[in-house]
Amino acid sequence: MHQALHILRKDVRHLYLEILLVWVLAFVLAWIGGGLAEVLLLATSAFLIGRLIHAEPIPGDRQFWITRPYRWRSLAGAKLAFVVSFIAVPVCLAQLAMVWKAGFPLAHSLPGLLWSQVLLLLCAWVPIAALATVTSSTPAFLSVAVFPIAAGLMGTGLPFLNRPWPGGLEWVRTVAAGAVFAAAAAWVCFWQYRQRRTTGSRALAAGAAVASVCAYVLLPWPPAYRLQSWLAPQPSDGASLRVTLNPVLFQPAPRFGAPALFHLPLTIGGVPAGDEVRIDVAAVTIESRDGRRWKQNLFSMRSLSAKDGSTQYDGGFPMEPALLEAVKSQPVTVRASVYLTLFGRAREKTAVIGEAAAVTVADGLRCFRDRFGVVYCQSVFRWPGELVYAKLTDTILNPIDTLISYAPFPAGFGLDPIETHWASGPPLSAPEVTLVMKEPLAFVRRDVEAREVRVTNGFSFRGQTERF
Amino acid sequence: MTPALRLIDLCKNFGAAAVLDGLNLEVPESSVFGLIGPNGAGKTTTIKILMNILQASSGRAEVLGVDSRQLGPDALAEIGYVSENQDLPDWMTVEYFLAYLKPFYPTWDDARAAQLVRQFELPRDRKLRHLSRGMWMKAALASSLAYRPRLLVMDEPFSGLDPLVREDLIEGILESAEETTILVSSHDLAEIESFASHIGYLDRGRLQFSEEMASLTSRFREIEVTVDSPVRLPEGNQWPAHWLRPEAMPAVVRFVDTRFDAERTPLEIHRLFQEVRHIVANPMPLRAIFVTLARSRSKAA
Repeated sequence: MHQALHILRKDVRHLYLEILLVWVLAFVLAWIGGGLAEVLLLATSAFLIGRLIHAEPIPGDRQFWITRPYRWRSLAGAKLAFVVSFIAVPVCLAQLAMVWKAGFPLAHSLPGLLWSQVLLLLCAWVPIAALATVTSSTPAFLSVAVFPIAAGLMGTGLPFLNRPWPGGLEWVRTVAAGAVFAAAAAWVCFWQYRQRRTTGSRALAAGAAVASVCAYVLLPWPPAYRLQSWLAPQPSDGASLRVTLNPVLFQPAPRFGAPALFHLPLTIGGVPAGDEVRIDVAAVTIESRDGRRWKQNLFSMRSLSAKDGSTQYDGGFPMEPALLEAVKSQPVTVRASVYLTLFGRAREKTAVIGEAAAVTVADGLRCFRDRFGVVYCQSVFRWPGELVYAKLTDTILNPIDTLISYAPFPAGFGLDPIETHWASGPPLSAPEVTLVMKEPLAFVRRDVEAREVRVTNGFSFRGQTERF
Repeated sequence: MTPALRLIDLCKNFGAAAVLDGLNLEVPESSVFGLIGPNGAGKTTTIKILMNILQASSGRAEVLGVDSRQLGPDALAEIGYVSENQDLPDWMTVEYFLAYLKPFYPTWDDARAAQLVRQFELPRDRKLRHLSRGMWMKAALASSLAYRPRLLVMDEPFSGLDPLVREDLIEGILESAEETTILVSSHDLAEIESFASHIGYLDRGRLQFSEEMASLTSRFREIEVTVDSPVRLPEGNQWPAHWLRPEAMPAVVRFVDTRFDAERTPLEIHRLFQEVRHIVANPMPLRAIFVTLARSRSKAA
């Protein structure tokens, strides 16, 4: 303990200018919000961590401290204490200031604030430290750090990294990849300080980066859905829901070489009054008579109409030529596993909102409107995991952010805690706005099947079954 | 008595290259042991293995009775290490550097530290990065002597230093020699000769000899034999293996005897040469011994 404090004091003395810069940027972030300040604060914090670790570099055989009576626990503890004291704390205070400035009650934001610190520590500060422990100098660290950033930026454009996935469940594969990454980073730090095995640590870090990407890309979504179902509070089991596979529609290829689309209209009935169903994904299998199969997942199915507790949905996917021929020439069997979420227990909150400042409309949501009447709502640390609509008139219910996450955590990853979304649709004419919120009640899977589907000149259908 | 340092069949390979090849060495406690050898002999590698900076490929190294791979903070608190290849925290001033190290060493002696700073004329408020090479080495040595280590390991401490600085360093080292075992590797043989009590000669990763300085200098002699008539050097097995670098001139034969004995060597000379008029046996400085050995090995290789 004494030695750790001694090393910590030395690092503070050595890095006071960098510490000052982090504090200034944290203040700027708190004052003007995210964007450039967020990027600069993150970059400066990474630089400071690199400088901190390289005050006693791990790789190499020239550094003075390895022949001095340093205790590895003291050294690692001093570095951790430094990161917490001079990076995590200013970031936390900046977030706290932003929450306070945005008018959110601090007590309500506390779980998100704490979880945000855990995420930042595990997924940012520790991995940055791990990278620093396997490099011998700050220039080397900065050079190496360019690669993950470049890979990340390039990776977002690579199709195999952007495999479609149910939007609400995105958090599952992000957590899986992040857990691999964070665990490996923590282990690299531990291993380097304890054993100074740089070659092995570098191999582990590289392997973990690959494993993390693989976890993100290769993780199948059905188990994620089961996990989500298991996590759901289950105030409703969705037993009343009925899924009907409507006649399968074949749409011939339009002109100019666009692919033919295979449409899959669905009807979901038995939805309790006031509740709402969203299709997260429909896994479709088309089987021809000769046993050939085509599989396709539909991640986007539009809600076409709702009437008497039934809602019609439609989604489509491009047909490959072999499927097109099979569908044209003979009847096929169509099976679909439909994964859906039932939202309900609607709550309505009404408040008068103005342009000057946001007002609290509902728990965790503060709204304002601009001079054009567009309604904006803010939340802290994460957008609520429920459907939020702005009731702009008596008849118009417009969603505020349709891309919601079912993640059970109180915060997402990031420095800026304030999330702002707006309601699509016409501008608000009245001074007050009503927010309608529906929470997820159940995550349900329904398997349906349609046999002898023949598609000619539009569609043809004979016989259908439904399984639960 | 347990030796301060012991190397047993120590091997170290860098890829396919064997830098240490079964090295065996003992450094007695309270000795000043000079480890000498040509470039690439493995001196620095040996020292780095002793200090647990490098791992041996095989074999074992013991430092103050502890396996070098297990050298922990407690053992390191009794060991000083000074190397020309070491990076110091160059942003620190001399004073802060010493103050920073103090809490790491239970045996730190403030009076000794102050005395070393005075003796080495170290500028207390100057940053290490602004010190000259000689001052930098003095600061490193002061930081390693202030806690009165049981063992001081020095890797090429004198290289590139002017004579005055060397003198200062040696003076500082010698003041600690009574309470400290010192291992010093150096090319600077004249300096080593002036204070080493033992010498080990390392070549191509193997120890060629290790003995007390007095014994070494007494068994090496440059022999000059004057004869009455021109001679030819005996060939093959007749020439003793411990007579190195033979040179024959019309009436003079010169060689280096590595096992000089005041009684036995003249007898051997008389057996090999006829009409010996005069034999002169000159003591050799360490540098001459080193050159003789290095050239002989090089020629043999």
